[in-house]
Amino acid sequence: MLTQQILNGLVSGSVYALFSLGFTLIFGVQKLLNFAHGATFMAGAFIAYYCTISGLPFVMAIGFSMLATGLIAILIDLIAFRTLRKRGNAEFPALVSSIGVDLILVSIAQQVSNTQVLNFPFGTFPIQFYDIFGLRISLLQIVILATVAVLVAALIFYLKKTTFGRQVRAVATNERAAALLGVNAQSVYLQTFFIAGALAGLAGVLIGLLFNSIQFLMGEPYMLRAFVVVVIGGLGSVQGAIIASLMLGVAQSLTVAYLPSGLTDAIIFGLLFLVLLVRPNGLFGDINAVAGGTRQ
Amino acid sequence: MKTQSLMLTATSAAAMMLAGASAHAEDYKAVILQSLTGGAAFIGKNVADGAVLAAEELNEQGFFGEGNKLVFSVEDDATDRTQTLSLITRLAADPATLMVMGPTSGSVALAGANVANEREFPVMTTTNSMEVLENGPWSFIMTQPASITMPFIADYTAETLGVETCAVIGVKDNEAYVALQRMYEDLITEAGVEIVSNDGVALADSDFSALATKVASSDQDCVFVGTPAAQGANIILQLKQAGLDPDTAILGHNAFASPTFIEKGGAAVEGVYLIGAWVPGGDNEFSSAFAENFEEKMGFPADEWNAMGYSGMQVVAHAIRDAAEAGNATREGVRDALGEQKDVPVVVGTHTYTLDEERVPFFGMKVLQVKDGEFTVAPE
Amino acid sequence: MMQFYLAYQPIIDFFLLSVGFGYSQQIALRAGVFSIATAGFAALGSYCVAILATKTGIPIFLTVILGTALAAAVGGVLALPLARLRGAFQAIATLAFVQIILSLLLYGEGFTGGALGIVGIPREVNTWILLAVVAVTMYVLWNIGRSGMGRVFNALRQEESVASSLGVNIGKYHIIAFILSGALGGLFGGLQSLYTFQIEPHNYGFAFIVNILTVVILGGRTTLLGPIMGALIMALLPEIARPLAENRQAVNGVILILVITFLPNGVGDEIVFWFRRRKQARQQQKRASEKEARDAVSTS
Repeated sequence: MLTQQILNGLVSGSVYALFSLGFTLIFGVQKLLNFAHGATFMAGAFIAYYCTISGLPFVMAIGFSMLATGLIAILIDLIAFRTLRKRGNAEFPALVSSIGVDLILVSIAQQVSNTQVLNFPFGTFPIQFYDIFGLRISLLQIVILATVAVLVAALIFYLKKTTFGRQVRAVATNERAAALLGVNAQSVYLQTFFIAGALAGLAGVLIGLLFNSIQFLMGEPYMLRAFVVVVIGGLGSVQGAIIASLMLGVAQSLTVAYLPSGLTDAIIFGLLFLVLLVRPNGLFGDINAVAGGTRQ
Repeated sequence: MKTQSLMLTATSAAAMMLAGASAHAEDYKAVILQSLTGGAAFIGKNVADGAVLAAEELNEQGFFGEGNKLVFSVEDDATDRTQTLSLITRLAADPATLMVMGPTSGSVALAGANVANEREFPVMTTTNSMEVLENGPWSFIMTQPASITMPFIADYTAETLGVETCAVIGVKDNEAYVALQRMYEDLITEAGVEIVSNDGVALADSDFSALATKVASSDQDCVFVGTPAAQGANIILQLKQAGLDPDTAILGHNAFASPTFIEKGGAAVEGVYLIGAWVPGGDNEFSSAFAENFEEKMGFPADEWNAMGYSGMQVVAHAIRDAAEAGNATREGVRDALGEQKDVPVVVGTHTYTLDEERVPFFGMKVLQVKDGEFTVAPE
Repeated sequence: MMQFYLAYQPIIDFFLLSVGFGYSQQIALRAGVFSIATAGFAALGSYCVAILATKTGIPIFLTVILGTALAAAVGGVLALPLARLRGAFQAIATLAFVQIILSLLLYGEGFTGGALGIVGIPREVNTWILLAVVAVTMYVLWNIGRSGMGRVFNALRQEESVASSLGVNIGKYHIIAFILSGALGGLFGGLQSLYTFQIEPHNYGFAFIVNILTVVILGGRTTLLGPIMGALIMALLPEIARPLAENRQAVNGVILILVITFLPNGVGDEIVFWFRRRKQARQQQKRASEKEARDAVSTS
């Protein structure tokens, strides 16, 4: 059962990674916490659901949903962040206004779904199980692991090797210096928001599919998990977020399996608190990734 | 929802004006106050829909006598205790309002009961919490407490199915579900069943992979899932996917008695046992007619809470009519009449609704089983 | 008047409680700590009072004091790790604090009643008691604001490095701010449980955090008038328009975005600032005209 639980944890953790990457990317570039990220994730699942039940092929529904959540994220930037960023010292105001966006999106989803729990119709994705070395793994789990691996690799390549990636890093390090070098910071912001939104949207669809459940509150637990992931991984660190996500996924599976249930949250958030205390830059945090994470 | 309540207020306002025109017609004013939005909306909204249908039908049939009408409006407290308190306080300040059908459940219902007893204003809460009754003579409960309902499924587990070991999965963050689960555990333990594991999930959870693997890889004769319908279907689905032994009996309580359960669970919930006051589609003349009329009006089939709302309104209406016939259509009169209701025809349980001396409602329960994608009465 | 009071009494009480929680939230923000720990403090205070009041014979008055002290102590302890963090990390850490408290309340069934919470709490608190406590709180905060401490808080919020270069011991003032925030959160949490008969962990979740944050952001983060205006608007809004009440969460969201973007000081603070500016302008004008008069005398 131990290996099976680790596998369960890795699958959950890989979806956390997809979710947290966008969150940590925005923080890395803008130094702002986007609390509406959870609602974007939820919107992804909702949009794909309504596309699927209105007859769109599932693959197209996913594509459409990622596009839409990318645009939603851009809207969040325009509505909640842009004005505040111009004024400067936006850390706290941006947290507040993104909570505002979160409330609005969640409220819309509640009205649309009539507070019901939705799920993708049976047969949206073939249910098939394989037994490998005594492990029970579904086709869906394999596809999710593969998709996440490919996307994460692509994102790392994009950030490290392409012009856009260099621009992103330049803006993240020093916006003004980057602007002097001819980098259009606004466009970098819009692109990072789009990528973050699209990844969150995809994560929403995958979670909705994997656990047969789509509901207006589904973003909240994932948002709380993302805080844990980015703190442990180091806010703004892509590699850290991935490792921390997988660790969180496994840790969660194991606490459910072997410890009194109900304590999972207390343990995870206690851990978060401890990490903040001992290593405020996260276990894998690159000190340079988040300049000024602690008081100097 | 908004338009609906606006329209209702408009019609009731129109009804009041009409009533003013004819000299002998009496208007009885009651308010359906439920959680139409927020956490308890899945109960409150459905109860309100059922109750509105009942009230409309009763008015149409002239139930309250020639020209007399029940004037009702629907209010929403958004599952927010503060709004409940303020709404009931305000409604109580209007002397024409005889009673409130509501609020829904949980802390909202208890808070409502408190203020109702303080203001001497009858309320019939949807909950089954005995504390609402104990709070004072003005607060009633509409559904049967766990001490009446849970023995039906606990006896079935221990005696009819004869299981020896059971794994229990419940909701840890909702007090109504916790209470039902506790009751079940006590009853089956008393009957000699051993509880091998006990896990709690949160209402917002959907990732049960770790829990499912844990339960599927341990050994037990039965799994009791005490969660709301959609979540329960999902847990059972994930249990089956994790490879739960197909011979394991899966049981749940009355929350599963909803079309949602079958819709979300599909083939995975085939064979699951549950208790329900409502047999979908109805199981006698009155309840079948209700099922038909409800679906015609709303466009979707009635579930347990719709049927409860419909039945509750029958009881409320009988109480108001009894009070009026006794020449005492006051809050006190309605309260006393409500406490004395016996054998009111309803669409749930064994089709009659009775309050005992302690004002505890009884209308019976049925053990159901999912067969070919439908709820059927379980084999004895 | 009495009729009005009876019909609207719960709204008035709700308003007073919100003001109290608002001050707890405000005092942390005022000292420059991005804390959302008030929900945790309120939960501690209310559970402490509820457990003592239902399970022991301790006088009610004393239970409230103990609840306040407990939350204040926890606030003081919490301030130590928080002092090492900055900005967003403080927000995350305090959120984690609230989550830990909530899950422990759910878990510690034997003691806290789990999801069922605690019922049958005596209703000892009424509008007048709440009003008196709010008044005393305001008086204390007003005195703190006028003292040197208030000025240090303002300095910390505006520019921490400046404050520290001026030789202000930042850690000490953060701890004081947190003890005050904890005490107020615990005090009003305790009063709330003596008012609502019954409490459960759910009462102090995300919705609570958002409501209190809205009160302070909308009202203002530095003046005493801030939380009053914020709580007043939030209490009246659902009464003025029922459709707004049905979409309370979305309305909260719109308010948060609009206010933080276009009125970053909040309604209450803006009002106070406006009066201050007017007073200053008048004084300047007075000085200018006096100077003019003097100049006129000396040149002639």
